[in-house]
Amino acid sequence: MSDDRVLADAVARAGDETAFRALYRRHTPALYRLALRLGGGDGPWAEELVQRTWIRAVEGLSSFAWRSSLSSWLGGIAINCARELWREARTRSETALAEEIPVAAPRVLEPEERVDLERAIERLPAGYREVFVLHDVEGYTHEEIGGLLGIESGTSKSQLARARQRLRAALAPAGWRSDWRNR
Amino acid sequence: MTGMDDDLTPDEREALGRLPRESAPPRGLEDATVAALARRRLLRRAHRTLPIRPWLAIAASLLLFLGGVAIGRLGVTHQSAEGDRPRFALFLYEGPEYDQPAPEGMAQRVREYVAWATEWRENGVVEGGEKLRDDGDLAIEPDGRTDEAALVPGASRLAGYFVVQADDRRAAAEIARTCPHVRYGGRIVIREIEPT
Repeated sequence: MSDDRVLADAVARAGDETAFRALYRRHTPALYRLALRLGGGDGPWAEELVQRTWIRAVEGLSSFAWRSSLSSWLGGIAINCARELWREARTRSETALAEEIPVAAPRVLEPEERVDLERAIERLPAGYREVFVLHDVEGYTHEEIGGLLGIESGTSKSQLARARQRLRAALAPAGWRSDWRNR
Repeated sequence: MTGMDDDLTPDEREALGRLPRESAPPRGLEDATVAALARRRLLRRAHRTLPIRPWLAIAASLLLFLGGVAIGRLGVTHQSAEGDRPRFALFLYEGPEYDQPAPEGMAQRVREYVAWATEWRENGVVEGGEKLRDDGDLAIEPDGRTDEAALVPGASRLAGYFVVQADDRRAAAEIARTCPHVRYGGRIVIREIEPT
């Protein structure tokens, strides 16, 4: 949006609170949805991610070159901040991320276990969920994901294939449209 | 950005396309984010001039009078950090109209209050404050009896307090009106602390 730049300039140059609030209200609903998906539906974690994303964004606004849209830039910052939060959590707990835990073979769930697509995404292991959300929901390429996450594009492809396999198992037999709820 | 793999079926693509792209962020996250940016000096807070309502001015005058008598009788003393600035207690009441958070929203609600207090503390306004427990009220009656059921159902209840420094009562009211407590339907009573 053209006036994103005007607002961002006011924030970067003068620390204009009113301009920031306008930017916040325009872009945070999408950021918050992305944060919820990356965080597996964890609300407080998503809030922390959104706040950290905005702090990092405002710190870097004056050097943003506007070669992409502000929303794309914010999305990239959010992904990097998400990885920071995961690293910090891993350091605190000294436990491995789910992506490093051997994954059991997918199984077809019992009827009472069936969930809608959104919940099934939330329940993916962190490594699978991250790649799935970025590729199949946000539309990033494997090369872009590799650059964002610091992994090989081949790793991204294999993580995505496993994520889809898990989702199909979780949502079988009715498929991804079953039990859809617009939460 | 491109690149859906051919592995997805049309139904799966459609299901993905129907996923919501946005979610309303929690109320209060915006203020907490602004406060966090202001603490880092990345934002300058907009000055808000808030009108004081006539009924509040009248109530505050009355409370100031009654409060002066009561505090004087108790002999409570405090030393202001700056010595000569008036100090005010902001008493936060919760009545039936207060928007109580769900248990999972309590942490966020507390963060909002803390963000508010932290911001004003950094400006040298808030000296301190406490949230009071929601249970365990105990009253000592004039005849010496103790009453453990002091809370009247449906009545407004003291939930916490802040002590602030302000130039005058109007300034204290302006500060109080920015507190998240007001936004959630709570009532704040402002009483100047008697200098002793």
